[in-house]
Amino acid sequence: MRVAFTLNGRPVEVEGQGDERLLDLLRRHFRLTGTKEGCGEGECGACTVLMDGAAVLSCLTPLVQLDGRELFTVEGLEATTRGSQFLERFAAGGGTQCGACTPGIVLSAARYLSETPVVDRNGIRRALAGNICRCTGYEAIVKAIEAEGGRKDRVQLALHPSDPELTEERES
Amino acid sequence: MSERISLLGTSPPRLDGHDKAAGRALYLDDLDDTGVWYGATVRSPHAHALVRGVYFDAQSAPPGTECVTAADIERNNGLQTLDDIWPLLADREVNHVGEAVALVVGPDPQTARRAAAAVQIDYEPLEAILTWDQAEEVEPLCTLSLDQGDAEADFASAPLLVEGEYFTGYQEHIYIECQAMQAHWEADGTLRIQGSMQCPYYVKKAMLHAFALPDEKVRVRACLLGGGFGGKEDYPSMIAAHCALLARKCGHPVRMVYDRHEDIIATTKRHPSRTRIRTALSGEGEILAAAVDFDLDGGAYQGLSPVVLSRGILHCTGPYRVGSVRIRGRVLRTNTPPNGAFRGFGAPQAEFAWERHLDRISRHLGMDPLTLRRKNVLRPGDRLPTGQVMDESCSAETVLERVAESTDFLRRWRACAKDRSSAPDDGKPRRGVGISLSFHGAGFTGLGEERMRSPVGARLRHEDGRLELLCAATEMGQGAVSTLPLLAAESSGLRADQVSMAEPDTAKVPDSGPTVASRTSMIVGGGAARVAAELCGRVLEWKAGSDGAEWSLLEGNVFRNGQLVSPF
Ligand code: FES
Ligand code: FES
Repeated sequence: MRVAFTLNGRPVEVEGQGDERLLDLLRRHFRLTGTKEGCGEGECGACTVLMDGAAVLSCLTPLVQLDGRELFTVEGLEATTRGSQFLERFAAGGGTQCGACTPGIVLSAARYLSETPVVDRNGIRRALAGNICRCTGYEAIVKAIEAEGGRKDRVQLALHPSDPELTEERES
Repeated sequence: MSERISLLGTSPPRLDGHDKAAGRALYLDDLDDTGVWYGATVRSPHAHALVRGVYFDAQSAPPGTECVTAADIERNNGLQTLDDIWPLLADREVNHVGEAVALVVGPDPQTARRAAAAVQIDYEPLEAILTWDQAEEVEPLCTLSLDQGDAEADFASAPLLVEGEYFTGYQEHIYIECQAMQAHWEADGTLRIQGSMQCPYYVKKAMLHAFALPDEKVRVRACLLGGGFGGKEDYPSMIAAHCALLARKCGHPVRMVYDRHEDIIATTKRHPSRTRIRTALSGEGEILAAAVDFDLDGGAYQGLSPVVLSRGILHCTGPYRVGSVRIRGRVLRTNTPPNGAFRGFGAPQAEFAWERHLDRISRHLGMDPLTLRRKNVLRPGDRLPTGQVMDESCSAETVLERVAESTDFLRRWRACAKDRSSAPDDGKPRRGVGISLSFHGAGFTGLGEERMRSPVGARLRHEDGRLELLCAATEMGQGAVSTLPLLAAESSGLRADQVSMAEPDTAKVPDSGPTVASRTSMIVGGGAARVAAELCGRVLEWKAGSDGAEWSLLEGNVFRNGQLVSPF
């Protein structure tokens, strides 16, 4: 079957099997390998991407559900100025060690930070409830997100695709 | 050269952090797979069985796919670790659920999985050893003991004896990146391996043995690891051998990436343990003697178990002074997947049992757990069961006191004890609070480090004037690629950004030992610091020799007779 959707702001079309996993589509077809597989069954959150602004697990999302959607991956986040600065600060704050969980975590975090005017630790922990990190013990992750929430120039995703900041910077 | 400690103790951002956060960092399965075929493994559903036959139905298998069994192995069907008994592919007999019996390969992962369904295996199930009691009945995989003093006499004369038995269970590493490996045979017969591994030289050694190749015909590169925790110390050699067997058969590079289920079923875990402790005590609670029977469930094959046992034995009585000891360790054989390295390497099991036992002693004596630990905690001058004397420093007491104070331990412990004693016996859960202390030997134990010597190299790169460290340390999240340059910079007078690390590729770096045992910062880092200082020192000497001036290096800048000349 054929589906059309936007990927990091760009319209794309794919021909494939309806049950093909979004995770494989991203990693193999689009070669966007920032999205990781940790378990393949919805437990770990390493494969988290944003779909129409909501965090979803790409290992459980089949191609058939993608038509007309707006998808956003860690590569899209890095391509925006504020996104990239957030990722640099997140890493400097000790939010990543082996890095296998990190792309999923920063997307969950970016969504939370974009939707939440006043962030707090409980909210951060809830936003990360679907993401397992084996290395850090979470504390550095929570602190990094808390610090980001206190900044005027914090990461801000337009969770709507027509947002100029998102699309323009990505083209450059 | 810099005398000041300027970098250590600071927390500069890790050098690989932004790449990882942005998803740019490349792990094995992120590498381009054009032309790469994928392997899959057919595993035993039986804990113990005879293998009557393995059949690959080429008619029903997808076209082009191939199968490899033990019969295809031309050289050594054994995984070289401490011994080579663990088969790469089971031949005639399987000894645990999940043991690899056949391998298949196809142009993509789905096709490989379909090919696996075309493998038929005829088994004759046998009785399996699955419990401690059954395992007692057969030869252990290995044993080790440690004696100090005359425990027998101390037991005979002691006023109080306390005994206990303690168990710990399996633990799985759950590195978020599952095991992943790739092999490729070059036209000249060189075997090239890359993948998620803690120890490229272990994998190299295993490949040299399995394929009976000369040293220069095997080249192994460790990719970035998405976590290891010990789980990528031994088993990666197995997957590398499987990929290499398949690559030889099909003529393409072959990649294998385990899914989570396969990773949990097939790869090594922390050894379950059973510890029986008997202690002789004075009336005041001093530990006069300890007899410890420390048993580990090794699984079906020995693998790294003897070394895990040894580290467990060395930590059996924790950071405490014990008069005399009689420690007997065994690794028992069961029909379960072989267990292996996991952070702490046997010591956590031993120390868990010992700490629980101290609590049992304190109940016997009617003494609180802190006081008992205070009485026996290691102090400078005390001797470990190995004979090692704590002659430099010993922070155990400081740590214990600080924890007790900062948690207000005694007051809380007494409050809980009081609550419990006054509570009705209604089976409802009650609160408790405990305290425990542990120690750990970093680096290889005994003469291990001396024997390995762990060479670290350094070279000045023409391209960018940076100092490049050459060592086999791998990056699995612990920060080796950031820490070692810091140590080298500190010792040499360079800035950390003037130091980089070569890829852990056996064709490029010396064998500085495996990335295990919390040894990387201490042992390999020590080597990096020495070699960087020596190399920079020699450059300065050579400069001085050529013009008679005094040359020095400070915070990355070169000075001649005290005048800044240039950045390094
Ligand atoms: S890989 Fe999707 S949740 Fe783990
Ligand atoms: S950084 Fe390793 S799993 Fe999170």
